[in-house]
Amino acid sequence: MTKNKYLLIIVYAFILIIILNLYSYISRTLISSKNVLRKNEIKNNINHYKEYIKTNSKYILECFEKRVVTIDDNERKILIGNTKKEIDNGYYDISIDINEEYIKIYINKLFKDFDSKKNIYEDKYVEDIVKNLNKIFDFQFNITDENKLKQLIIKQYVSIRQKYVENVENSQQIILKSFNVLSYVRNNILIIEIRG
Amino acid sequence: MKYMNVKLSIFIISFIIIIFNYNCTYASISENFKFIIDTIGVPRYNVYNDEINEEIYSIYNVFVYSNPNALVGKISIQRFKNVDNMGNWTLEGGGYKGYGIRGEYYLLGTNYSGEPIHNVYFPADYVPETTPDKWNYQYIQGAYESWQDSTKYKYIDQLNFMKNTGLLFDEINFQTNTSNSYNLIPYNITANSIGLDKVVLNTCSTWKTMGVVDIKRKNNKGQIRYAILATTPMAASAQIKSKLNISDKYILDSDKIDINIPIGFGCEVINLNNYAKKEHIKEICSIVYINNKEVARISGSKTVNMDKIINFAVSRNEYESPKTYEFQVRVSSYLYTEFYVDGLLQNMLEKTIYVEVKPKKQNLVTNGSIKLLKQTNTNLWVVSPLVQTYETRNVSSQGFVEAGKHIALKLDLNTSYKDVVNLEVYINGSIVESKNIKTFENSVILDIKVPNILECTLMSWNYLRDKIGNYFNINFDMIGNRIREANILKVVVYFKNSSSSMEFKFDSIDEYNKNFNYIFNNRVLNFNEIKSEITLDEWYKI
Repeated sequence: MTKNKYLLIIVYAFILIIILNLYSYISRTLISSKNVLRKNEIKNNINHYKEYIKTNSKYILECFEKRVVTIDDNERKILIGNTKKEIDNGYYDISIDINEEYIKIYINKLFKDFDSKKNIYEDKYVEDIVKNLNKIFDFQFNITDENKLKQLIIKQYVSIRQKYVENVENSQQIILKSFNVLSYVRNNILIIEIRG
Repeated sequence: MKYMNVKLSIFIISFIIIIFNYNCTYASISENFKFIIDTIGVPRYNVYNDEINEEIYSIYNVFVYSNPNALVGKISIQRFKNVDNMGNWTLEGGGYKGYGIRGEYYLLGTNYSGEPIHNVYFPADYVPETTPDKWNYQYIQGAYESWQDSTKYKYIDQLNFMKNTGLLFDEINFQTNTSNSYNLIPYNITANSIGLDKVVLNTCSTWKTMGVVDIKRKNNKGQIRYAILATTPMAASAQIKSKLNISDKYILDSDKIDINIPIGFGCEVINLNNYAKKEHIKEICSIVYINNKEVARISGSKTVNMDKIINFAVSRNEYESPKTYEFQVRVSSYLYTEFYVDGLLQNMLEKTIYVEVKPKKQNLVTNGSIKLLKQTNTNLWVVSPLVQTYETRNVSSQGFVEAGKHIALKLDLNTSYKDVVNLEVYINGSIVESKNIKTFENSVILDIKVPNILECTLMSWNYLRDKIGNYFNINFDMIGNRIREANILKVVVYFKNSSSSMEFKFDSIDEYNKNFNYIFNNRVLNFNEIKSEITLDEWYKI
């Protein structure tokens, strides 16, 4: 009897191990497939943006008239600056990077006249950039969203472009209808991060 | 009136002040520096509208906006340290020029985005107790990852260089307890030898700029200290050399209208190595200037050698007076790499060349013509045109003449015939006998006997008979066809100090008595003219 009892325990333990392994395997498979699905979604989005940028490059150039615009399809970057050489050397006014999870807009300067030596902030430049982003990426911002985003950029941009402000209040976040927008400052450059 | 003068004075003073202010504000960098930043692609103003600082570039070799003094009181970390003998800068001034308090500022200025740029020559606050090869290096979180960050370099050569090259640190004097940041020396350590997890890659070396890595160490008291180590530039001695290949002196001869001077120019890059390669060259260019005016250029990319040959024409139209002209020939070459911080490598080569323009040769013989010469029964010389056919006209020949006949050559001079020293006549390069039969004030007519042995240039009956071997099968239509090039009659007239020459083409057939029954008259173009004979006086008047 005792012998049978031990045998039964061993059989139960064996069954339990099989069940646990099976559960682990099923869980891993489910998580993995979920991840794959999510990555594919993101990939599709990126491909959509890349394709959109490729087919609408002329239109994007028109959005930033009087500035040099370079569109790097492989690097997923739109760079706006004064001259091609300056952009190549990293001197840009605005850089738009498309990441797998978010779009980042790096803002150095918010004026677009080629000969302008002034760095005087004007509402219309912010208005332009917000409208252009909306057009380029088809974010479908409504007027409230546009205004929220404009106010965020204005507040942060003005704060870092007051001469030699060393400690800038960092990282602000707003919630738009379909996007989360985070703004922060790195290396004295204003960064706007838009996530889906 | 007085009131008007005051108004005028105020206006002039205001105008001067405006102009002065304008110049002060916008003309602060030199034309050469502007050329450098425009060529490489560096903005003149940053986000704060601060201008790029040329003086800092020339002293520290970095592109910086604003100036150290302007940051005092605006950025809290900005400070000045006195460095008596070696300081590059002056307290509350610019680059050290022999007066003022000499030293270094902690910050040189800002970058394009307005971030402060540190001064590597700022003296260290703590002098290390041992040399870097004996330091106790500590693990730094993110250090190893920094070597995987591809944004820190443009070419893998830079990364390899940073891993393997000797690291530099201030020369340390333990007796005086000072470290000399102006003399960075190697201590027989590399990032690889320390361990990549203990060295943070900050900035990679380029051809001309030093690289920077950060380390953390524990000193003999157990205190943590941070230090910056440097690497040498990848190709500090790399240079661009201009090439210019041109002789010193040229001569524009009397009989030439212009002269083409070949100029070979270009450039080459020297002192590259295993790390600094031609692939890093973004643009290389050579420009040749003559008397400060650009005449040609050659440019390329990713190459270390360029050559081009051009022709520079010196024409009498431009340089009419006979004298020696000087020309400054300059080759300016420049190069910039994919690493814009390298700035512009420049080189210039200059040479003065001399072009002697000889006096233009005056052609004293202004005109000339030839005709057939005969003598009438009354011993009067008369002339008539040579016989013209399609064959003669097609090669601009004056016509044809039979061997043994006489040609009259009339030469018109723009000087007196008395100035003529000698005359020589050549037919096909061989001198022939000539006789002066008539002279005028500015003209002369020569009698030239066509040699009997002169070969036919056109086919005659006799020629065809000799060629075929009998006269039964001669094709008469072939009479007058061309055999060879027309003869060249050349006359050289020698004056006291110069000479002039003139050439005429004419055709010839063999002697009349060999063709007496078979003259060709069906192809003659000037049938009526050849019958009209005129005297030498009449010819002179034409």
